[in-house]
Amino acid sequence: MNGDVTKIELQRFKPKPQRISEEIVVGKDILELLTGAMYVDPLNVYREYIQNAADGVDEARESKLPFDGPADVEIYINHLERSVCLRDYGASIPESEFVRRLTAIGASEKRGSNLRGFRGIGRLSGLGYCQELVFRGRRNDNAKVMELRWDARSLRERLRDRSFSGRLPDLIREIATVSELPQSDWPKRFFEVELQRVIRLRNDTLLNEEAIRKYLSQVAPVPFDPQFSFGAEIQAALSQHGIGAPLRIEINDGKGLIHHRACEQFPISNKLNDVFKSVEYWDIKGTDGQRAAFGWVLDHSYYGAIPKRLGLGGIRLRAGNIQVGDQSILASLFPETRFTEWAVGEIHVLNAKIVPNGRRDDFEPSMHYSTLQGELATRAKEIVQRVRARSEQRSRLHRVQGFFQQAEAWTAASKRARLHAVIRLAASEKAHKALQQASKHVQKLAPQSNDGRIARQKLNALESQLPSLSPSSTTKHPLNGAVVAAVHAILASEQVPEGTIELATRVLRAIRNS
Amino acid sequence: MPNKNILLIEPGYKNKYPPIGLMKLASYHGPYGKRDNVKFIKGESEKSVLNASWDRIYVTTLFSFEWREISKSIDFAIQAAYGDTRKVFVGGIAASLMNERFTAELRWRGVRIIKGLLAEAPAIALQLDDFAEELYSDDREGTPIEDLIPDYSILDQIKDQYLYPVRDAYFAYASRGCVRKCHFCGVPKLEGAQRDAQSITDVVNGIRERHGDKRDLMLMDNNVVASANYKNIIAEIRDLGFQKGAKLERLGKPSVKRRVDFNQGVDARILCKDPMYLREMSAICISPLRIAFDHIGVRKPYEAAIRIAHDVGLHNLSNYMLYNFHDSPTDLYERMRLNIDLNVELGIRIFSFPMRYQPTDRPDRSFVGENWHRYFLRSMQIILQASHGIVSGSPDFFNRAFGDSADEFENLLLRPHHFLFNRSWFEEHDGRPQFEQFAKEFKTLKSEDRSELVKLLSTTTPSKFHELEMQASHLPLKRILRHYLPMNKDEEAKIWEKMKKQAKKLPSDVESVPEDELVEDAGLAEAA
Repeated sequence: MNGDVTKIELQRFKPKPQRISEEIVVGKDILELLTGAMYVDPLNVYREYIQNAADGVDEARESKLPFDGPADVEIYINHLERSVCLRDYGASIPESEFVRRLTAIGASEKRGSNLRGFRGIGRLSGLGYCQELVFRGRRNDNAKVMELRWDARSLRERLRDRSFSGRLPDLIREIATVSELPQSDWPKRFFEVELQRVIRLRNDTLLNEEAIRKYLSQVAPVPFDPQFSFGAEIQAALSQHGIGAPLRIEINDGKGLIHHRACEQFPISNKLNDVFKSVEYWDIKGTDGQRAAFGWVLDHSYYGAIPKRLGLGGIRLRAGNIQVGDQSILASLFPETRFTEWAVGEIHVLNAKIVPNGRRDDFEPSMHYSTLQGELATRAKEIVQRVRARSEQRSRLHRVQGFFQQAEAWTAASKRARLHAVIRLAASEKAHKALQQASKHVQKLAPQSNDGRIARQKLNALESQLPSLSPSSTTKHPLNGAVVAAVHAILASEQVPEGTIELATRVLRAIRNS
Repeated sequence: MPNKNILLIEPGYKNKYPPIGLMKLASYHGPYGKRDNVKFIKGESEKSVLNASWDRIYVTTLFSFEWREISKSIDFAIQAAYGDTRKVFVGGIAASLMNERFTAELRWRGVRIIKGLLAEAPAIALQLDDFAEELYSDDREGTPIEDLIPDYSILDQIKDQYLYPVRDAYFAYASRGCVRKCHFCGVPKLEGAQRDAQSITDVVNGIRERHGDKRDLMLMDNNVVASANYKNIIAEIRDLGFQKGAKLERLGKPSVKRRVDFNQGVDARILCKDPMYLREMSAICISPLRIAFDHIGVRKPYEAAIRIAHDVGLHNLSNYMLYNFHDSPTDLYERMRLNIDLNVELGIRIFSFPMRYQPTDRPDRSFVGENWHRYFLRSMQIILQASHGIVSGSPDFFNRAFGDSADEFENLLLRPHHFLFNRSWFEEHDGRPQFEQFAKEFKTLKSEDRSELVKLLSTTTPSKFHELEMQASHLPLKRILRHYLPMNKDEEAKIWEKMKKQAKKLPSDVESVPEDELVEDAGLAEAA
């Protein structure tokens, strides 16, 4: 039958896909998404504006535009007026492009360039947190100072207004206005964004100098604290690997420039401080043999998890020298997630094919990114091994110290004057036993470590002081084995001699008297 | 939106008058207002409020030097708000005078620190954000909270814990602000220029209707005699039942004499210009008449005003005496002395209440005026403590407490403190030889020695007086410094034990002064 039938390919009759001819509608609500839903933490607003400022400053540096101010970016908070202004002295925007560039949505000219922000949406992030968002700037001292205002209050009214049927561009025309500002003492070249009548969030985060400082010290491309002794070295290594000079950011809280979170020492608990002892560099190659990432990790004692409130812990990822995600971005790569925040470091992603996602809370999934993650996972494992080894070493040391103390105490007890020979012998035996135990653990301590060396010295010193075990005088006392056993039992009941010697003496006296 | 939970907090300091601001806020939120649930606490002892959910928390503040107590209350309020500082509002005098200092405190970020009166519509005065759709942020036209009838019922919520010395009174203002701008005073910063306030008749009637009759009328005007409306104000007071000799009859309670008290004092410089002022005043049951006597420079108008008061039959007088400002101990002594002399001459009774100046923007009481010394201030406190802060009007008691002359007064201020504390023991009983030895040595000191001595004593606290000997320039000083070493505690306790039997002799006139006439916070309990 097969031979008689002609095979018809049904596929041929399927209509060919056509381009859509209807008009595509982009409604007003898209603006709500871009201003309200994009960012998890309100402080991300600061990251978005710092990122734009960093691009502007880089551009100015590349074009060798002169600038000699003390800070590249100034953050000015006014509590009375509830406003915050971020001003940078970067390249700014030419007058002719001012409105076009600042009203475009999702059409950044930065894509494909070396600049960080490339989607053209971050600049609206403040709109969800204040009543008016204002941009001002000029390119040079001959240019006019332009101002673009976005009215968040009327944005909200339009969004709620069912009768407003305008599209996105109509909406923007309704809420944004542009004006030319009269010449007064504006800087020669600047760009600034001001959030006016900022809404109150918990702890007034957006106007909270401390919170902003802490956040930017983790996220922004700020310089290391001069007090941090590895700072200069790390900065040099970063420059060598093409990571640009840091951005000097100042807040008007009288505390000077914002510095990178890395610090000389840190409290691990209320009682315990730890210091960073050394720095190691991670140079990670990608599949194509090119460098995928470069970073640094600080070594410390790994006593425990670094308190979250310090904003210090975690190996963080950066792209364009701005953090992507948070302190636990590598959590899934650690064999146990709890160890994520024990380590302190920063990895700069250098492969242009590894791209931060729109929210900047992770990178877009790609083969390149997963290769990098694989590399990082093996290193994370090494860190966990280090944590474990340090911890083991510490508990061993702790035990050794315990045995040392016992040996010392029993040695001293065995040398007391007017002690019954049976007790003296038993105490000496205890001293020997404690030191034997100590010796066992000392051998397991890493021989080249400082702790190991000191322990060995102490062991030798204690050995030389040990009492002899010659049962010379016991024969004079015709006591039977049961009594000797009783004395041993009494002494065995405590790890240290306190009390037991007296008790044993009393028991022996009682036996003799009976 | 009734039934919101509102928490009102007054810090745990000691104060004389109930928190009128909080009482007005209670009125705004309470049964006559938004019908929310209002809870009032004083201090932080009532921990149960930490288990409730509050929609809004208000903290009032009073003296700026109570910074520590105030801080505790704000921290507590934030705790009660589960860290949501947006729900916490801080207002009142200290918050207004030290607004910047409060605002600079990072841990209070998000707390609204309100400066001045709540004299605008509630949502505006409380800085409520309608953009954020905060509770009652739409109340942009309502009656200002400042103008509401204070809610006395909240005071019952803490009556087992704290009773305000003044409570059976209508609290009102006939005027606000002041015509003057004295540098020592917070009023120009707090209230600004002089103006008339709402009608006291409305306030008194409002309180009476809601919370029953009150005995006294407490008018907290800063300078009522400067009001152009003064005569009408007095007429209103009379019409409200506070005429001269007025009594209040209340069901089931004994009949009581009523009192009107302009508790911030009245201005002698205006009173002396026209006897009309005090004649008007004598038509109401004013008690006491408080006339301020801030420095010896206003002696003439002050004295003139006292004489007019005497002429119109106002004999129960009391006055605030600022010290530790630009004055000196001699200046203060002369002012006190003048009152004694006037008492004797006119047969009246003027009590002086010395009030130590504190800058209005300082968080503690450590300020020392240019003509004072730390040591003198402490001595002054010890002397005042003995008579609850009042300077007796009786010449004998006065001479004993403050000396016969300004020099004598200064010598008293320079006396070792245990001699002042246990004065009769050292002057009249077994301690006498010891005191006489000191007095003998003290006499030999030249005036420059004395000024060196007080400077030395003012450099440190008594526990470190033993270190001063080394710093003294010559022998007689070194020797006398030994008398200043603080007494052994046990020894002092023994003295008290022995002196117990000696009845404490308070001048009878001082004993008769009711607690509510005392200086609100003379800082007598606090170490200088």
